[in-house]
Amino acid sequence: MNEQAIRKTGEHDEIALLLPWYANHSLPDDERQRVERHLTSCLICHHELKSIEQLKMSFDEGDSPNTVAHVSFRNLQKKLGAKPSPTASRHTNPTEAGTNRRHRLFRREAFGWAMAAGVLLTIGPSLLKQAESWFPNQYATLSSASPSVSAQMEVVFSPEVMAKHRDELIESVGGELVGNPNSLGAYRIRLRSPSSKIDPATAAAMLRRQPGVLLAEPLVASKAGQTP
Amino acid sequence: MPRIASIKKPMSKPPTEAPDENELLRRVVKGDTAAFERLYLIYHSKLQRFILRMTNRVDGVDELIQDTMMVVWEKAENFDYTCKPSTWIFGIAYRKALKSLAKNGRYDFMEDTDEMSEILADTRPTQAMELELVDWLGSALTLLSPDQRAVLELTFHHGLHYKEIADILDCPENTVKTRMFHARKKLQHLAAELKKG
Repeated sequence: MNEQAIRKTGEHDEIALLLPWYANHSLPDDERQRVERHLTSCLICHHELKSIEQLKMSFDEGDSPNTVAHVSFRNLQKKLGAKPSPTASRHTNPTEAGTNRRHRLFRREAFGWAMAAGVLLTIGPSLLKQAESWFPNQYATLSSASPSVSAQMEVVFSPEVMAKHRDELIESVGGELVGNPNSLGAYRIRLRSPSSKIDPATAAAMLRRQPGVLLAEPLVASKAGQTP
Repeated sequence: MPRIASIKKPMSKPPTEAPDENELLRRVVKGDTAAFERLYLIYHSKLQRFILRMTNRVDGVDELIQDTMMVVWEKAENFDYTCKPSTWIFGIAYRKALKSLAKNGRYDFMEDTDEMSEILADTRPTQAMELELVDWLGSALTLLSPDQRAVLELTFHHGLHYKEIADILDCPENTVKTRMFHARKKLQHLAAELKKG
């Protein structure tokens, strides 16, 4: 192989490694032009680029599950509440040992909560069973009516949804707000006329289809804690 | 409610839509929780996807996001503004995700140098056959190393240049390029097996 051929192979290998970033349009002008020059004469790279573009499209198609960002932030805020703000730390000029102690305390507290949650998850089902025996009147037979669904729903809106748009969405299913959102940012919505054409399950399904709605679930009467 | 089709004029972006992340970080240094919340909401979905791709586990993702953002809150004054805030924040998330994988004993992939021989000697046709065509990519990604998944994700979803990715992963640029190369070859190999199967 002569020197020119070796140089060409080297150039090809270098360009081949750059193709993914040519495909994502992040290359600066000089690199982009270099790739484009090479692509005009290299069928292998041309073919590779097509395959990379397909891969890029596959990546964009798949969406991750969308947990609620602002609910997640509220949870973090609780943790932050247990800690001093960075400004406070600077102003009080804590010693290293003091900072570490607070971290340890915070971790211990977090560990305690995690343990409590674990215990609750473990014994939760048996507690529920026990609760059934504590309230013997609340049982169902074959002739019982199915668990009643209250005319209420819990709905979580995307943080981008403005108050006016939120009210319009609620109005579109004939509902009205009941109080303020809970600590997780979920609104309770009551249907004004439960016997009308829209039942809570349908209303919740309608709301779920709206882009600004992250979660909408009808509440069963016992969960709603009150009659509609 | 106004119908979208009836809106003739293109909607102009309100000035609050793209906040200056450097400025938000400066405010975070001063303990401004509103700025921190803004930053959190900007990064939540980005980090969620990135961490999910790296760890391949839904559970624990939110915890890792919170751990990452906790570092941002606590160490914002250490950010020196020589790179983009996103590079710094993704770098924190990357290390948190790796730590979590190591803690769960799931970071046992071999080094890049061995990977070409691994590809050629891969004798896992049955595993490849089992992959669902519909979500072949999601399944195939589980066969890559977390580092390779991170490179693919940061390139194809977040559109970053390889230099930025090298900064995030704290490795040489050539490592980023070779990780991408090996990851792609592996995916091509799996896709070919699926076609055959």
